Amino acid sequence: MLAIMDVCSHVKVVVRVRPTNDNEKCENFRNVVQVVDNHMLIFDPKEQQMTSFGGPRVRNRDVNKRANKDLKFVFDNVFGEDSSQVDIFENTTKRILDGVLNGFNCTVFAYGATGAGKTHTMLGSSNDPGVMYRTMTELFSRMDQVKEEKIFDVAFSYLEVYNEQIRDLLANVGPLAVREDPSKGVVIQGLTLHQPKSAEHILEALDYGNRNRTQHPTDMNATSSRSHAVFQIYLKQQDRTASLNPNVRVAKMSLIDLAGSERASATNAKGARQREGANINRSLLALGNVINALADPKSKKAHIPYRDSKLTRLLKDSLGGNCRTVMIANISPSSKSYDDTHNTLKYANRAKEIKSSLKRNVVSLDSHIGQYAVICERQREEIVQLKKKLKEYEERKMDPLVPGGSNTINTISSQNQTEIHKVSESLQSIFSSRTQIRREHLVLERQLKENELRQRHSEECNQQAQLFSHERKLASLFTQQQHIRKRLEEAELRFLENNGWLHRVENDMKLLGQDSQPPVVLQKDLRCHRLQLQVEDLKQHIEQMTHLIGIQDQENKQTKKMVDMLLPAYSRQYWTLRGSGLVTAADEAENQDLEHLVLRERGVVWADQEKAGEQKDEETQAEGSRLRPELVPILSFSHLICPHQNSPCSSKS
Amino acid sequence: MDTTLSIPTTGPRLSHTEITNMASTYSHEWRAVCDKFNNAQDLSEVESRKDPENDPFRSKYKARELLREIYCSLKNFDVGENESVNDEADQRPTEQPVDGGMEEGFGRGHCGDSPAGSRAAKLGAVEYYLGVNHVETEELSAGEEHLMNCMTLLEKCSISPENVSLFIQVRNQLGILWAGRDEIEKAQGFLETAEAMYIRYMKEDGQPPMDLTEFFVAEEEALPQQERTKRFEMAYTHTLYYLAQVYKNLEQYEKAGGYCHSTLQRQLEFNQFIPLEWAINAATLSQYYITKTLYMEGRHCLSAASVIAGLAGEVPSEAAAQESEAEAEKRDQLRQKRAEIARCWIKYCLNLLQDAKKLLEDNIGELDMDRQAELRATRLKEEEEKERGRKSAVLFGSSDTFDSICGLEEKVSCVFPVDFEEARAIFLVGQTYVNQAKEYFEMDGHVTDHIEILQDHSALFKALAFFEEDLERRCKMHKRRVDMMEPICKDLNSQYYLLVCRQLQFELAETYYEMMDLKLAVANKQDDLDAHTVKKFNHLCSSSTKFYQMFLDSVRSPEGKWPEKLEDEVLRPALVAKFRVARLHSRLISSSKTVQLENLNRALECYNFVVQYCKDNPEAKSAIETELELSEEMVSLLPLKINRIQANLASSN
Repeated sequence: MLAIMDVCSHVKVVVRVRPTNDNEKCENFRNVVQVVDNHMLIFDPKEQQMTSFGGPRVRNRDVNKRANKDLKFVFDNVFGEDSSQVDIFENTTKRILDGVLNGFNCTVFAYGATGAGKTHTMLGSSNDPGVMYRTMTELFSRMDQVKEEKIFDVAFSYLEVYNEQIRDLLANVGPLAVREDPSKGVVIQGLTLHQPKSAEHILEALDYGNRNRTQHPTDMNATSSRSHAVFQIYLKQQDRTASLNPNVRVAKMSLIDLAGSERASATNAKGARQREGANINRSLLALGNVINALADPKSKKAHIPYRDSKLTRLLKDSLGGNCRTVMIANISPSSKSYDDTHNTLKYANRAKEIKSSLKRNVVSLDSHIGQYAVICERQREEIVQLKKKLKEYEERKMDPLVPGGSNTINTISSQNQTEIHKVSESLQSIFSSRTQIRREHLVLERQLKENELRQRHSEECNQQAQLFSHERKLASLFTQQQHIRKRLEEAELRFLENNGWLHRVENDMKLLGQDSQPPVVLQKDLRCHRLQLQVEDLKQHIEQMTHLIGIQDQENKQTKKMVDMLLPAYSRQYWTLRGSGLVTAADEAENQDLEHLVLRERGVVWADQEKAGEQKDEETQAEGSRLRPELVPILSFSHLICPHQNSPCSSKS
Repeated sequence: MDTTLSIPTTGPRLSHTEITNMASTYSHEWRAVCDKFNNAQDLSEVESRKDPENDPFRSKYKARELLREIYCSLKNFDVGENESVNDEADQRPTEQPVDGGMEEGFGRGHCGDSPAGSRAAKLGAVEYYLGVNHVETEELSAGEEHLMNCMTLLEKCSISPENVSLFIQVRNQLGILWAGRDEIEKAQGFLETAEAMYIRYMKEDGQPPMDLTEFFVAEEEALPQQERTKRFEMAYTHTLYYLAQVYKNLEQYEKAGGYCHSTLQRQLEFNQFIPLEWAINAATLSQYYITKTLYMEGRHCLSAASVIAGLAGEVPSEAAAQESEAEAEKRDQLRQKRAEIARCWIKYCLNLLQDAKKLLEDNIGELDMDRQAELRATRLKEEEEKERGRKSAVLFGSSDTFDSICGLEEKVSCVFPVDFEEARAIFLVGQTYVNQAKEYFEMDGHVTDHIEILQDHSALFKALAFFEEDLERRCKMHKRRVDMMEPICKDLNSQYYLLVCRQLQFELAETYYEMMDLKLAVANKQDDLDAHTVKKFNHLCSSSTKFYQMFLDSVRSPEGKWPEKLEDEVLRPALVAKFRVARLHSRLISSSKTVQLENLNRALECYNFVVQYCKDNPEAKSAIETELELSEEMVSLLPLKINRIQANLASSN
């Protein structure tokens, strides 16, 4: 049955919680559904207060034994215990009627366990009629409103799907066959159609049909309800104004009472197997359910042979495309039907999610991705060409506007223009590759620095640990370094090559202008390119420095952690040694040094010690720099030499 | 912990004798117990099926009473002799054993075949049956309690041939019980232990163990070895099957798939399956493998499915079906299931071709020679590995089916095709299955299924066309696609099959587009664009436009109005269609400036539509980023082109 939902497009899901009945109140069952607002409810909420002195709670013991699930569910609408039939109708089928009158096939599902209030919601009682009756009355009144303009043709049918067999509930005939007709849609052969005289007439027919059902919906003793009841109304409308092209609209509304959710619903067990309903997951017969769940049913890649085909087939034309679908899930709030309620909510929640996953179903654009890329690519080419043409066109348009320009000059300058254009284009390409090279160069540099930094960290680590050999890591870092160096050299070579190219173009530029000065346009162009490159460069510098600092920061953190651990440990050791009189002079001196080191930071506080502190500070710094070079060179990157005049000829360098 | 196994090598015979010996003192009472047990079994397994709907568990309750009596008698039997055992059991009834390591049960407490061990096992068996009885009557907590009692009793025994089955089955029951309560990890613990116990037992002992029912039968009624094996293996099959469910629920689909596979394999091996059902399961499992690009496994499943479906018998003739309803049903079932399997085969061939295409295509969707060579090379390497992998894979088939399964496998490759010849071989197999599937899923009666098959057929052609180097022939393949879809698209009533109609329209539009591109490429190669080619080209162009337009019209309201806001699932397709229509208009070839102007204006209109729509509905932007960007550029460029042509036209007049 889940398969039905997979073909469905827009599902609006509402949940109705029925009031607790006397029976449940008497037996002291817990309330397991808490309606939060119009859209949310909590299933099995955490209990706020302790329960009163132990009542007879033996029967739902297994519920209490487990921790509360406290699951939140959000739906299009949640109707609490005090909601009226009118509320449900207004928010579900009333809106759907607009669709029907507009010529869309619409479907309403009622779902829920036996005793969860499904029948009350759909049929209701004579003084408080349910959704079906109200829908019919509304339909008839709507038709009445426009009867001057339109001719209506209404017919209805009522059938049942039970054990994969379709039976007409309004006529006593054998099982019916369902088939899809290319022009008429889903056709149930031999199904009787009836013309209603009024809304009441339809209800009478419903009542009659219900008595024919394999299991009467109100039969509370039924252990399992596997019968789906499908009530369909066909509406044909036509403009009264006689015209050559009569506007005929046909729509179908289906109201479906889905089989109970209290039994594993995806099976179509027969006879003896039926007994296994509740324990279906134990039986190997349900292996198919597990396998079905493995392949994604929504992906068009795979074909999943669904087993419950009749109802799905029956509703195929009502669920795809421009249909409107509402699902009304009915639940009981009592812990007596804990599992049923949980199952219903899970199912309803699944139905809701289908909405978002439908896109893939409609028109699969993704299968044409390859070809699609080509289309876009060609279009891009076209645009580039158009732009080029446009540029030429505009340039030509501009030229005559140049004051005092004679014809000859014009032609020359136009020639010149194309030349300039060409140069400008080559500048463009030089700089785009230049940017590329620089980017690579800087990335490599970063890798190199990162490598250096890590090497240093590793070395330090080695010194500190001494006991452990980190040579392997160092070795791998070293080979990496070699590798990066090599690539860096390559990048530098490419940059030089690019430089040579630029130099040539610059010479070309000079030839174009007067007095060996390149035309202003091109000069600007070049400058612009240079600046852009520089900006890119600096941006990358910043990014990479941040990266390196991040690495150093981690190392610092590590060091800090170590110091934090070492100092207390040291001091403990020291005092223990001292306590037992084992301190040597060397130890004493070491301790003194360390104290100074530590006090350096506090030196600021003690004014009289400041000097000594500073002295120490310098010393330690000097010592530090001896041990390891400054960080600054590592954190900075090579800058681009940016001549504002001419690039050096490649031969020079 | 002592891990040596203490299974007597003399086997169950001996222990059985002991049971009888032990019971001989009470032979009368013992006989009564056995009778009661048989009765209980009969009530639970046979009678319960006849229970009325309104008292579904009548026989189960009766059986429960009998089991309780048996339990009491057993408790009283050996009170004198086994006081200590009794005490021990009573002292810690609340302690619940939880499965931890797999060493459990091997080497602790009583030997499985000691009198004390025997007694514990017998009591455990009764607890087990009581537990199952409660679970089957939906009293889960009570059931759990009994099953845990059984675990406690067994805790003191080491595994032996007479109790190993109980060890495993009680864990099966607890596993599925907790799985039903959504406490998957707990279930997993029990089931994985059961699995480990089976494996270890089979490795270290391996003789057919005693069945649970044999605890309560006279010696002469002991089951033959073969039957014992069958029952024991079945219990283990259930373990695997429950594990499949557990892993599915944990979303470990790979593992779940593996366990489904093993379950199927064991069903076949021990001859416990219904052919059609098994075949459908295997075919569905293949679809899982396909989506994971495991084609060897997928092919194996499909071949087995085809062979096993063949075991379900001959399809009754049409004449026979008309005679009897049973024959008609059988005919329908057989034909349907075989057609379903054929459809799974189609997906296999299609995905294999499409995945190969993805590997081989360059960024504009053409065959990339380098990749082709690369794939050839890696394939050679992989083939050897696969051959090795095959030997370790779980293979289907009993002695009489294995050869036919292998035979079927050999008919189609499971490696990616690299050239046209290989692709064609796969295509042809796919096409055979297309025809087979269409025999049952005829257009008349199975519209949506039939069309889905056609769409797959078309996709097969499309994938094959990718491998075809000759452009003319490639074009002909696309023509085949058009020929199969176009008539159906025209006949189909979009009122009922909107979704399908839209899919067909889109695909037809794209196919024409592809053909147009191919025609142009061919013409370019020959370097002449004669009138005939131009005519052909324009025809393809307008055909493509026509179908995009049909799709766009389907989005309109019944009054023919374009919706102000496109619904989510048609948003991207509709805008893409508009964009393509624009492009198609600008590509039409005409020598007349007026016609050119007209086409360009239409194109501009469509580009404008896309741009304007995204301006009005900014949320649509993300859906068609690339197209929007291109459209915006065209909107700024096209007017200039139009102006130029206009100016040209004006000057020439």
